[in-house]
Amino acid sequence: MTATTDTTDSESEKRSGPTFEVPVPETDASGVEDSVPCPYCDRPFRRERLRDLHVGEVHPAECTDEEYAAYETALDDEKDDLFTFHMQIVVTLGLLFFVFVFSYMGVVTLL
Amino acid sequence: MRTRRLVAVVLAVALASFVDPAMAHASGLGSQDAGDAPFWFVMVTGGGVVGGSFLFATLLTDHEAIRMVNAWRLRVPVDGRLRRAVVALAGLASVAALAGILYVAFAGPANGQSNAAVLVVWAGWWAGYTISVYLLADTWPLVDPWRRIAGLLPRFDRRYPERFGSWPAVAGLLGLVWLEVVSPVSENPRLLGVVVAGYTVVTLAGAVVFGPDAWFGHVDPIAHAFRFFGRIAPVQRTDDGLAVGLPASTLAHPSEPARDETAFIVALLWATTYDGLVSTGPWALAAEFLVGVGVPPLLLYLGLLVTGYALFRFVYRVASARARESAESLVSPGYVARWFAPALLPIAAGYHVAHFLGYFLQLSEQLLRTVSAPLTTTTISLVSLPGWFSSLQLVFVVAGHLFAIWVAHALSFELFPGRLQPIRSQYPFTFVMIFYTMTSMWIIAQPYTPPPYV
Repeated sequence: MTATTDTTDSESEKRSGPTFEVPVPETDASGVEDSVPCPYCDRPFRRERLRDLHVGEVHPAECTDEEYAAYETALDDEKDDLFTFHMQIVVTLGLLFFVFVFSYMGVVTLL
Repeated sequence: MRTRRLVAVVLAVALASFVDPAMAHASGLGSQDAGDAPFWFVMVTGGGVVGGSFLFATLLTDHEAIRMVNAWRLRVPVDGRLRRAVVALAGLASVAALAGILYVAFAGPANGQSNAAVLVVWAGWWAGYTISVYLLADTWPLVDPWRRIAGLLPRFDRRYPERFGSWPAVAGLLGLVWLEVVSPVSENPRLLGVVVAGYTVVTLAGAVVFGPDAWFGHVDPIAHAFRFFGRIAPVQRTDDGLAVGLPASTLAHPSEPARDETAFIVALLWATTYDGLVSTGPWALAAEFLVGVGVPPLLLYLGLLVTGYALFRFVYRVASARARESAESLVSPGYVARWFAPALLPIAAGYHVAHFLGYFLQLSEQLLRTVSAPLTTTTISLVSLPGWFSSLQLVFVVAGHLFAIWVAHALSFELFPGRLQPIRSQYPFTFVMIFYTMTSMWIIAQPYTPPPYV
């Protein structure tokens, strides 16, 4: 099963999507009652935001303007979370680096 | 001892360069004459480099850019006539080589070290040629002698039972590795001749009964191993010639993953680890103890092979199920496992090059000597490797994991929406990988101890 993205709709031509066929994964939503399905490929998601992101990414040509707007909103929301996340990553990387450099110095002088 | 310090410095610099490239160049870690870093610290640093690279990769979240890097190709069209000529010549040469190996195995010197068949198969083919497959291109379909001969034989095209999938190839691969470990096939030319002849008979019979496509596509373990290793290679075959891309970039292309690929990829990974594990000192001690309490040696080696494979599958399956949870996804755990399986291939290749490059280089001169005089007994001459070579081996192990992180990172963006969900999906895999890196480094660094009782 694959989802093709062809740009026949003139309004959605500027929306870019994958230029190749993206496989639709096998899913298992058993035990999850409030899953949100994609209207184009039926793939279920745990949250609406993830579904919106998926629709904009994989079906940019077929989706409606409202759906594309929802995608852009979800992308914007994620941007804030991603910024916080990246700050944490940079701090962790810095810490990791110093821990290794100092323990290298410690290890070679002590042992 | 010097080598350990060197490794620690190389890895620390690698780690540092992920954080601050300027610092890596200016810090001059090597200039201060510190003492030796103990090996456990080198191992932990290796794990740290892998973990640090994952963190660094999470900063690259531009999906389009990731796709562009992996899709970059330099196309080299190859003239149809040239192609046909190369195919015909390679076919003749490979069948001649197989015949030569069989002849020399039986008629050449009885001593493995001066028998060209032993050196060609182990040093030339399984070590050197395999390295060329994943570092350069999968040329095996071009030089697979069995496939060439099978193409000339009649075929009955009996239906291959689809439910077996690629399991015969998994069993075949593990069986060959087991045979290599427990029997003197890697040093006894006559036994090698028998094994090669047996493999030839079975392969040709299978190809005649089921047709070459079914046989080499599902059953033949050698064709399978090279097909998977070849997917890492920068040079790939296209319809009208060749395409050169970045190493491992082909693995990052999203395609519907085949159901039974994972079983073979995990077997390939475990086979390389098993081969190293049985020649470590701690294994020798464990084997001596277990044989002492009455376990038959052959069964012991088979038991380790099967248990280790089951353990690898189990860990990978658990990590995949956890990835589904950490990514808050509803993709089935089995699909997650299949989707990310190609990312395991660079790890297997990194381990293979660490394990076999030294072996190949040491025996390269002997290989040339025996091939130029296949029927005379020669004295063994080994090329001596510089002291820093053992450090390089550890760097290869880590490098394989770094490619795996990149491939998995790219694949995660194709499977999960947004940018945070793909990143979160990689936590369990990275966690496992850090430990696997350290285990592999430990195995590679152990002094060679001949596996006891076999």
